[in-house]
Amino acid sequence: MLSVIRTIWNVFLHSFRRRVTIQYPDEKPYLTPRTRGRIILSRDPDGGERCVACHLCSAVCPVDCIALQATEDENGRRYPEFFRINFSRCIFCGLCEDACPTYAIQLTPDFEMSEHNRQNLVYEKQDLLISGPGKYTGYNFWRVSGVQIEGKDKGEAENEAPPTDVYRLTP
Amino acid sequence: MPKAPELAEFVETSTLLKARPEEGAKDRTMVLNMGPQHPSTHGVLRLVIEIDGETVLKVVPDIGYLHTGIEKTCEAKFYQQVVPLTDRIDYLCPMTNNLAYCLAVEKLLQLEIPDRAQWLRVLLNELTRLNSHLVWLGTHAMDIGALTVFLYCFREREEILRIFEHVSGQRMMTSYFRVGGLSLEPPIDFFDRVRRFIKVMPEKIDEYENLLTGNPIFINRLKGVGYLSPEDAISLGVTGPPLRASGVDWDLRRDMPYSSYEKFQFKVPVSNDGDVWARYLVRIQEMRESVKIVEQALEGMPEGRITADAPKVVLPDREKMKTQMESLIYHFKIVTEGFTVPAGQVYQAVESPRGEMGYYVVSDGTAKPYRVHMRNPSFATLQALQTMCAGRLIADVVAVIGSIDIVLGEIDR
Repeated sequence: MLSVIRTIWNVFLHSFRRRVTIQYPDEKPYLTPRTRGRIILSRDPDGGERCVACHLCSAVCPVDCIALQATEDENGRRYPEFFRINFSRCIFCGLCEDACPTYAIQLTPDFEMSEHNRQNLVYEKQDLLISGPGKYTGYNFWRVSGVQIEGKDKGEAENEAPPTDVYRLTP
Repeated sequence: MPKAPELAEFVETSTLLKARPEEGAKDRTMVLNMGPQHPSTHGVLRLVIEIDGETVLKVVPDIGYLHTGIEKTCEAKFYQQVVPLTDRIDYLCPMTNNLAYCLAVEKLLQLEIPDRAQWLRVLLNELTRLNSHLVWLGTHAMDIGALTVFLYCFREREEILRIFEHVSGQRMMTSYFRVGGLSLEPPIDFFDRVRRFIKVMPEKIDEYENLLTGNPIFINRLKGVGYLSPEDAISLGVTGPPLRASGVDWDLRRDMPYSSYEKFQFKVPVSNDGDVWARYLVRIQEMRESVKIVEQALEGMPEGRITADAPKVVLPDREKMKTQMESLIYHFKIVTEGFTVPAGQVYQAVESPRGEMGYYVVSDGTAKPYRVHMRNPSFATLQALQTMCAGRLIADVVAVIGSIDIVLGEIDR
């Protein structure tokens, strides 16, 4: 009997505690930057596409939900002709983000992706590509890589020495 | 090729037929169907119960409603791709599953895991145990009729899930461990957050005990119900808290230490009563011990790397990958081709919140496992249901199912 009264007293005291319920659609919960939600494709600080269509994300994806086709533009930059993520298959494991060598594919703290129609969950490139650099600002793959593109010759990248002239006699 | 049996034929020949009443006993007994959509069968478990009045004569669990073929799927994936799958086996303790799988593969690879990674694994595993036990306590008490405890438990569980989200990126399907270490360095305020949580946790456990341990209704529903003798427990393969509640002092963390559990001091709670009440007390004590282990892990957290020094297995450091050609090559090789594991077979068991969770991995020397089999504690514990429930009332079946803490995702795989 005493224990029951103590329980009721305990529950009564709880009615004065701080509420922990978050009124969800009106009040959004705080999600940490690491939260693995909707996948995006980011751009580098210059505004160009970061994705170089290396296929690593689609190779590592355990559920094979990423499909892309590589192509090259007139400046010599590789980019995906199409990039398709089927979010009805995606399990948000984050392996693609780990695999991406250019920070192009990123998982964002957005989970509100419900659709009435399953077909709408297949995101094409225009749905995925955002206009900013996402979580990793500053990194620009085409500035640091040694690949020759329009406007950047061999040896002009950051931290890169000019190529050796093989016809010179001095070492 | 044999023809698929017709539905009626299948029903006639299925094992559930055995649950039907014996000939000549038709007028006294009846068959009761409990589940698969029953709130207290904890998932999609169907129980075919033969009853005489209100007395249970026979309980036949019908499993397989949640079968997803994870074991077979593992054979088609690279070793690193299996890690997200292991989360989904026992969705209440994803980190334990990750750990068991990673330890098994690391054993085949003979990798040396740095201390920091091992301690972080222990820390997160004990948080997982707290998380799982909180769900157990909440749902168990709710089955008995105490709804308040459920809300209190889920309040604390929410904080654990937020910590998981903070460190790994997701609340339940964490996929945080990798073969050879961890996927990411924990964030800066991670340890403070765990410390804050662990500081208040003992009070909260007192609060639950305040509501339940002295409560006469709760005691009457639990005491003396679902007795399981130590001999039965061992012969049925029961592990974890139900085994310890039956008086068998066996805990893999202490008796077969893995991931540097031998460096932690903790007690293994044991009870000799073997009933539902004993299982309740054992789990509550385990929660308190888990809090102590987390405290020790926080105090003595070593510095250093979080991944093993194995460039052919572990993805290279990102900064190195961006600047060094060799790292980039390894990165591409591991991601596209996986890493090969020497041929052999290995069994690695860890103490999950439900008992002995073991991974049996067979490698044929390629980058994909030849066979991955999981030894799941719930599967063995469920078999003891008949022993525990026979001769008791139907209402006791609910209490017993709550006390063995089953997860159907793990049973069906």
